[in-house]
Amino acid sequence: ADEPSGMVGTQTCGTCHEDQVKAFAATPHAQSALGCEGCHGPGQAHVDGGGDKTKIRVFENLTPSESSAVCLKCHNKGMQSQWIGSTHDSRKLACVTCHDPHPKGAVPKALLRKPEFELCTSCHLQRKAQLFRSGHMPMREGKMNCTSCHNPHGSTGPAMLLQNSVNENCYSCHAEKRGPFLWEHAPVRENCLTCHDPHGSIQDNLLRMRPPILCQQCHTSTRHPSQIHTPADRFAFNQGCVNCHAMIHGSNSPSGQRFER
Amino acid sequence: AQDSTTSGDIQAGGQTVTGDHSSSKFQQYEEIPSGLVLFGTAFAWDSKSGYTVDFKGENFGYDDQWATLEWAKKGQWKLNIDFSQNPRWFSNTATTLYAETQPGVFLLPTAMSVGIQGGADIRNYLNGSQPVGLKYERKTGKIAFQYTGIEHWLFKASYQNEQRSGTQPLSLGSYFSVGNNTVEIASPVDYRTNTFNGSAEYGDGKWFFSGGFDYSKFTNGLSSVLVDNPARYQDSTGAGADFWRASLPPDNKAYSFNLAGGVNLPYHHRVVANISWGEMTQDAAFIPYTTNTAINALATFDPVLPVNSFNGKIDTFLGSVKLTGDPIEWFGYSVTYRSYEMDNKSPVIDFPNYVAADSVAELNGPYSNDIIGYKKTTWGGEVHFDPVRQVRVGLEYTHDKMDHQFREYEDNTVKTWKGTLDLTFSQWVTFRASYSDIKNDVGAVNEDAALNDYSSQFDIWRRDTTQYNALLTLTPTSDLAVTLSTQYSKDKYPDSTFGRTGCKYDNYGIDVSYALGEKFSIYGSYMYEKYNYDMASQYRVTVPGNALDDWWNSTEDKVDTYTLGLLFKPISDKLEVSSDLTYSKGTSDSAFAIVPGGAYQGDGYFPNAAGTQYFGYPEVFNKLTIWKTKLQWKFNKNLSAAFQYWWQKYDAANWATDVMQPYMAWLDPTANKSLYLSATVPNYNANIFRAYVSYKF
Repeated sequence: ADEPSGMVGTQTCGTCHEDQVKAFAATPHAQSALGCEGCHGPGQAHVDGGGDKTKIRVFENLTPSESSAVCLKCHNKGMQSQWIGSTHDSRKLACVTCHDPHPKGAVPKALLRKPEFELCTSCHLQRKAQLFRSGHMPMREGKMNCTSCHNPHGSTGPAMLLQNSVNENCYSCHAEKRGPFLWEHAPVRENCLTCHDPHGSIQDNLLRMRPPILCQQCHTSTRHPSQIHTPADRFAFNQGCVNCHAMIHGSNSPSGQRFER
Repeated sequence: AQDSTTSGDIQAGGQTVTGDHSSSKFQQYEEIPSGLVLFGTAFAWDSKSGYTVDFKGENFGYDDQWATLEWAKKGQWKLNIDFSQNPRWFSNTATTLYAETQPGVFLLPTAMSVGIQGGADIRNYLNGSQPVGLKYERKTGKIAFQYTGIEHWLFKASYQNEQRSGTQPLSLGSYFSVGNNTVEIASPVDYRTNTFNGSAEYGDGKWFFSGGFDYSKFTNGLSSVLVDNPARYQDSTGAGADFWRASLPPDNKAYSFNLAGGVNLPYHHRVVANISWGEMTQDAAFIPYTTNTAINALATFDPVLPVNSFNGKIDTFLGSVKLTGDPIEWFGYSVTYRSYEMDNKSPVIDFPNYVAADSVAELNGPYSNDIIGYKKTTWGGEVHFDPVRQVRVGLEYTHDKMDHQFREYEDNTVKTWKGTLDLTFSQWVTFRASYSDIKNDVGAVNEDAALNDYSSQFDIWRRDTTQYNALLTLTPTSDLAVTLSTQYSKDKYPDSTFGRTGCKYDNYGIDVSYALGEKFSIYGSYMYEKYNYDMASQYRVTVPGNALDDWWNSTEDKVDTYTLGLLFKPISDKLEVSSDLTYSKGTSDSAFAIVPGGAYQGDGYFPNAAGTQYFGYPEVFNKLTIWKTKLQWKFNKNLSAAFQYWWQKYDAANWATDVMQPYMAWLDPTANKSLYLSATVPNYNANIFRAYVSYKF
């Protein structure tokens, strides 16, 4: 379609779209000198056409990528720099799927349509359920949110993580696990998710399974790792294998090759 | 100044907590106090000449307080100063006989060690146990500056100081010492992490460039703990040491440089490239092999360390490039190449001997550390077709190759085919689904690593995975929304004889919200989840073992989660009632099977299997109920009052921790020289009544 030409100014838009202009005025976008037309394009033809919707950019009529392209004209740095080709982009989500440029009422943080956790879990339903597990990060207490670890606009890391790997993401809060250690536990160094589910678990310490069974899924070697351990057994109660192998994330003791010290 | 505006709000009132609420679980990550509370306040100033100030804060004076201040000039710069504090409470039931006489030095009454070494019963000394806190606080302060005063440019710099202080449970095993004794202590937490980030970015809608630097330094106030052995007051080569010493997480540093660039190309194409390289280093001083003077005096034992510190170094590298294109309206694609490396360049150190437990010197050295690291190379592509505007069909292929520096296999390769379908009809039906076929194949066996630990290493073993998920959202009217979702994932390990042999996960969920006019809305949801893990093992005194000692375990976890809520506004702009209920119930069942008629040789606590016998761990469950109901009355646009009732109940059973007492030989006779913290996590059933006023200005 031909691009309409001619700017009319936000005040003219408010003649018909009073509510939207009022809501827009309270948002950070109101700092733009272009006002409504900064996103919707020049409005003269729309006005001349008596409000003809075909003469102005109506986001509802755009494809998700066309819609997002408008936002990306300005939001092309920082957290948005990896949007194009990201998981959410390729699955036909647009910026306006999650953000509302002219919200009703109080202006929410980042113009989100819903509070962050509610917004993310409207599609990722299982993550909402995991929040109420016994083992959980302090998300339901409001100390963290999804974007503490993920960038929903895309990233260079796996699963849209803020860092370049799962472990680097975890180290950003758990720097004591970073090492490098003299004695490394291979699956720990390669991926924290081998043993932990950071979104929530019914086991302690966000573990995917309870020790000793968790450990025995790999350690089928001789002696006590290969035994069945009953609940009345010091290899199983309390912290299980970690009762003795306490430095399971790595040890820096010259005598710590079995992660006991 | 006449044009400037100020606004803000303050929420203050009283709160009382009744019922059984002493459990650490109740306030695991927060503080819920009784008394007068300043729940929160906010202040905003807008000069209208471009300057703004925003301040917000909550829970002042409590363990979970936070505050944030932003000072900005619109379109030019922004300065943020943040502070937050978060508790982490492990248990409120712990007791200990240990006295921390100096930081990190834990002593027992001398008479106790003397007595037990002489044959006395450890129970004779337990009356002296004192309560000990198992809790630490994480306090974080951050200052960040952002400058956008030059068109197309963004400059950012931030500094963060995080402190963690308090205690956490630490279990230490000296299992070759007398009585296989284990002791638990409330280990000091004295961590500091300083972080600095800086970056400059340019973006004009076509071109994008960025460069950044990240630096992090972790400092532990204590490098080790020295812990008295309850069973010994004299060092011995056969019976154990008077003390033993454990290394705590060592000081370490990390930094990285990051560069990125992108450009929009003709026909709706874009290419983005990223490169990042960094280093993680650690060179904290080693502690000695042992504190056992009897071992150090052995002629066969060399107590001198070959080096005084590790000088460990891991280089990290990321290089990635991604080309995306939507050349025509109904077709798009992307191609990706990514290489991530965690290259462990730490030295291999040959220790002539070591002391795994403080009674036995391992003399058949050298004992050398393994160098663990990997390189992950990913390439793949995605194509999507939009046959009609409302439909997108996608197909992806991803090839991930992991080269391991020291694992059972030199490498493993994950090949993933994924099909996706996204439908959006008339803005009231959205359907998203995907199906993935994932195959993990392994490369050559690394004989050194395989022989090292005989482990199955399920995370890299050959594995076939099938996954699908689907999400259907219906919004037939603006008042009604229904979302249905399901996920399924199944792992098969075709080569796995021992270790994990299978894994399955599925869930089904529904989420409904309905608004009856502007005065009443209701929502509810339900999610069912099931996890299955299967494994096999064989009791082996030596390798190979006896097939009659084979055993299997199957663990099944189920979780049901319900939510229900309503919002009712019987008098517009005056009275508002909201109520939210959440109930989550998780259970875990774990059962064993043994060879029929096998010569099972377990640890002695299971009866020997004369025939097919099945044993299961007692069911683990945890149930959490949270119900919050609030009634709010608005006197005018500035002033409102609210009353909130909040019921929170935690009901759990965990056979592993519920039984914990300082003396555990009542359950396991071989633990008769051990000392535990008796750290349990009790149930709670709390009622919180909160009344407060909100004033907005």
